[in-house]
Amino acid sequence: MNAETPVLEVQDVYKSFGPSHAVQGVSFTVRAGETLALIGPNGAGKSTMFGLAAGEHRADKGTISYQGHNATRWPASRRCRNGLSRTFQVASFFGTRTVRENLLLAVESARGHPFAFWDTFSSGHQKATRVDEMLVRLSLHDYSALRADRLAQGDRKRLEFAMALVQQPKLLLLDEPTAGMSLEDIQQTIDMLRSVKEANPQLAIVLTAHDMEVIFSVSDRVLLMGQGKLLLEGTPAEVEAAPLTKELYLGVSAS
Amino acid sequence: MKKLWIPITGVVLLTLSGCSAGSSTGSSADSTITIGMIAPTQGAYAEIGKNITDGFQVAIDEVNANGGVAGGKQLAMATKDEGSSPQTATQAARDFTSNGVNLLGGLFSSADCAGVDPVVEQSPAILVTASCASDTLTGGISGTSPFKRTFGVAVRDQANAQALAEVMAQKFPNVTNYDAFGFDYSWGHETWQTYRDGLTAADVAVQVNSEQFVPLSASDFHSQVAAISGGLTGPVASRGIFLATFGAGTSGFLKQAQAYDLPSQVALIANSGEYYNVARSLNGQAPDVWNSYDYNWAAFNTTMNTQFVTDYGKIANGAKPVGWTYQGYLIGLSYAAAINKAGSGDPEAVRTALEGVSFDAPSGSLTMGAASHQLSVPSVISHTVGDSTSSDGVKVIETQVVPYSGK
Amino acid sequence: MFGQIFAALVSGIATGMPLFIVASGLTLIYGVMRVLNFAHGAFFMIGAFLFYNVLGGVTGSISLLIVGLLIAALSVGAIGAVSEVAVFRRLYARDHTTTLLASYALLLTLDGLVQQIWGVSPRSQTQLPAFAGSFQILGVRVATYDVVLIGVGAVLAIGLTLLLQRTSFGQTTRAVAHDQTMARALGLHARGVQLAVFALGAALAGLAGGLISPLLSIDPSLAPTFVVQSFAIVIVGGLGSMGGALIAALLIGLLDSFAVTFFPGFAGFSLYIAVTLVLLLRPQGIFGAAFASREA
Repeated sequence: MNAETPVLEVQDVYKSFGPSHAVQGVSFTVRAGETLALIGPNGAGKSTMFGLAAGEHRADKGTISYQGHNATRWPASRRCRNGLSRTFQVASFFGTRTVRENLLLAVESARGHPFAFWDTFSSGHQKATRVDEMLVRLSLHDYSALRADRLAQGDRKRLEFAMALVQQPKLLLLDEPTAGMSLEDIQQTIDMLRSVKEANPQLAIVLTAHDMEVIFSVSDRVLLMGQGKLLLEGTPAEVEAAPLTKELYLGVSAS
Repeated sequence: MKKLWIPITGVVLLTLSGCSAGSSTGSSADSTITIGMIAPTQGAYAEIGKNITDGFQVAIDEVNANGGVAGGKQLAMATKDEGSSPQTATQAARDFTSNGVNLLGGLFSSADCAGVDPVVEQSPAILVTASCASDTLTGGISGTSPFKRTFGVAVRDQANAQALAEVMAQKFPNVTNYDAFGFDYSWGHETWQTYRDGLTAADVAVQVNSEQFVPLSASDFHSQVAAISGGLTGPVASRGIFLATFGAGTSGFLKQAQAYDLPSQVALIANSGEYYNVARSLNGQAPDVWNSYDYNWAAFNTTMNTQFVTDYGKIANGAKPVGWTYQGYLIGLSYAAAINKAGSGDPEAVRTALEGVSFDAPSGSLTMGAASHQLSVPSVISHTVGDSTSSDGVKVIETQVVPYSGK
Repeated sequence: MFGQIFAALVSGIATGMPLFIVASGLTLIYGVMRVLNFAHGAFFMIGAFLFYNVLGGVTGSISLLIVGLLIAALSVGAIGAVSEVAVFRRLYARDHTTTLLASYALLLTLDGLVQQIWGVSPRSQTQLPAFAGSFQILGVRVATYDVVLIGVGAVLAIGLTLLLQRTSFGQTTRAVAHDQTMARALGLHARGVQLAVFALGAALAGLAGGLISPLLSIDPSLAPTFVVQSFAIVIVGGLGSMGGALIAALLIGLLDSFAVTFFPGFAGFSLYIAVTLVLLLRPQGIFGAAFASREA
C-alpha cells in the first residue's frame, strides 16, 4: 500500500433487502486523514451503506476495498482486525463489566486470538498502558473501575469512542455519533472528534449524521444520498448550497 | 435452504419414532407360512426385542430342519418394530393383517399388549405374546383368558414372584428385614407385594425397612442406594433386598450398590424378572443374586434344552439364551405344534388348535391352556454370581424349577 | 436421626455432582448460543460407549482412566463441532422451537447411530479397584467413587468459572454471548467462538459419560434419562448460569436424597416439583441470566 491508496474504496455497490433496493450503484473513496460524512433523509440508504462498509451487511454486487485489499466478503470481525473500528447509534459496550475491562476487551478482540485459553485476560504490560492512556485521553480515568452501565449518557458515548480508538484503527466508522444528544453533549462530541483528528492525522473517518452542525464542524467532504443512490458529492459548503439538499431536507421536514 | 429444516426434522422424527415400515411379507408361496413378530427394534428395549426374535428364529429353524409343519410347509418370520407405545405396536399389528399376515407373535410390554390384544380380537388374526404376563391380560387366577384370539407363553408375573417367595422362605427363613427397590408402575408394585405376601404366607415375619420405587426410565439411584445403605438394621443374616426391576434398572442399582459395598452387608438379594442378561453385562462382577424368571439355560437337563442352547449359541457368538429368547422360542414351538395339529396355517384353525395343544419343550411337555390361553411354563429360580471364568461371566450356582401351578 | 440427615446430605451431594458435570456443557451452550440442545443426552451416551470401548470394559489403572476420559471428551467434542457446523449454526437466528426440534432430531439420529455401531446389548464398565467400594465417616457409609466425582465436579466448576471469568477466551465468549453484532464489530471471531463453545459443551458431556459410566448400565436408554435431569438443572439454575447449574444440581440432588430418605412417596417426582416451583416463583431460575445477559 502506498500513500495514494485509499483507505476505503467503494465501487458500484448494490444491496437489496427483498423488494427494497436500499443501495444502488454507489461509489466513493476515503483517503487517510480524511473525514467523510454520509447524509440524506430517512430511507436514503446511508445506514445500509454504512453497514456495508462496516461488514454488517454483504454487498449483492460491486466491491469494497480496504487499504487496497478486496474486502467485499470479509466479515465484520476480519475488517476490525485489519484496522476498521466502529461505533453504534446507541452506545454499545458490555454493561456488566467495568469501563477498563471494556477497553481491555476491545484491545484483546482486535488482536484476533480468541482461543488463547492459557492467556490471562488482564495480562500484558503494553496492553494495559494503551488502555490507561486512552482512559486519560477521553477523561474516563475517574470511572475506570465503574460498571459501564452505571455511566451517564455522555460518558457512555465517550466509552464507545475510547473502545474504538484504543484498537488503533486506520478507519473509524461512526454511526450517528450525536443521535439523541442534548446541545451541550453535541458540542462536547464535536470537540472530542476534533481532538481525535488532531491526535491522529492519518485516521480516516466515515460518519453518518442528521445534524448539520456536526457535519460542517468535522467533515472534509460530504456525500448526499437519496433513494439508494449517490446524489451529490462535495465540500460541506458546496453540498449545503445545492438546491437539491434543501429540497430533500425540506421535503422531509414538511412531511 | 434454511426453511428445509422443518420438513427434514419432521421426516427424521417420523422415521425414528417407528413409523417406518419393517420388512413385511404378504401371502407368499403356499409352501411357506409366515408369522409376523412384533418386538422392539429401537431404543432402550431393542435388546429384548432381539432376544425374542432370535429365540423365535431358532425355533422355526429347528422346525424347518426337521421337515417343517403340516406336511412339509416351512415357517418364516417377518418382523415389525413394537416401538415404545401401544399406538406403534397396534399399528404394527394392523400392518401385518392388512398384508395378509394373520399369525402374530411377540410383544414385550404389557402396556403394548393391552393396546394390541383388543385390536386382534376384532380382526382375523391371532396373537401369541412373549412377555405380556400381567393379570389383566392373562385373566390371572380366574384361569380364563379375557381375549379369545390372544395366547401367552410367559410365566405370570405373580407366579414368578410367588415361586421366589416360596424358595426364599425355605432357604432363608431368618431373612426378615427387607428393603425393596422397584420400578414405579403396576408391575413393580405388584411384584413386590406378591413376594412379600408369599413370604408372609410361608410364615416369614417380614419387616419392611424401606420401599423405593423409581421411574422405569431412571438410571441414577444414588439416593435410593444411599438410603438403603444408611437404613440397614439388624444382623447381616437377617437382611434382604428385593428388586422388582429388570434391565438397566437392575444393573444400575447393582453397580451403585456395589459402590456402597451393599451386597456384602445383606444376606440375600432377590429379584423377580429377567436377570441373566444383566448378570452377563456386568463383566464377571455381578453380585450374588437369587432370581426368578421363565428360564435359565442351566436349569433343564434335557436333549431339547441342549439343542436350544447350542443352536442359539451359533447365532449369538456362544452367548446363552435368556428368558426373552426362551419366550420367542416357545412362540415358535407353540405355532409349530398348533399348525401341525390344525393341518394348515389358517388362523381360525390354528386358533382352535392352540387351545389345549401339547408339545415337548426344553423344560419337558407343555400345554397351552384351553381356557386360560397360557402355556404351562414353570418358574426357574436361579442362584448366580459373577465369575469371569464362567461362560458369559456368570456362574450359575444352583437352579430350582417351580412347576406351573395354574393359579 | 442425625445419622440419617448426614447420610442424606452426603448422598445428595453425591447425586448432584454428576448431574452438574452433565449439565455444565448444556448450560454453557445455552449461555452463549441460546440453544437448548436435546442431543446433549446422546453426547453423554456416546461418551460412555467410547470410554467403554477404549478401556474394553475394564479400568486397569488411573492413567488408563484418564486416557479413556480424554479420548471420550475429545471425540465427543469433535462430534459436537461437526453438529454445530452441520445443524446449529444455521439456526442461531431462528426461534427456539426450530432449534429444539432440530436438536431432538439430532438426538434420535445419534441414538440410531449408536445402536448401529454398538448394537443393543447393555455394557458394563468395571470400576478402577482403587475407586471401588466404600468407607465410613461418622457412621455413614460413603462410596469412594462418589468422593472422586464430587472432587471432579468441584474442579470442573472452578475451572469453568476461571475459564469464563479470567481468560481471554472467557472474555471473548462472554462478549459473543452478550451481543454478537457488537462482538463482531470489535473484531471477535464470533463464529469461531461459537464453534469452540459448542465443542467444549459437547466435550463436557462426553467427559461426564465416561466418568459416570462405571455406575451405569451402558445402553441406548442412557440418552433420554440424563437429558431430562440436565434440562431441569439448567432451568432451575437459571438458563446459562454456570454457578446456577452447580447450585441447582446440588439442590436437586439433596431434594432427591431427602425425599428418598424421609418421604419416599415423593421421591419419583421431587425433580418436577422443584422445576414447577422455580418456574412459578422465579421463572428466570435461581441465578437467572447471570453471565450472558443483555443489559437493559
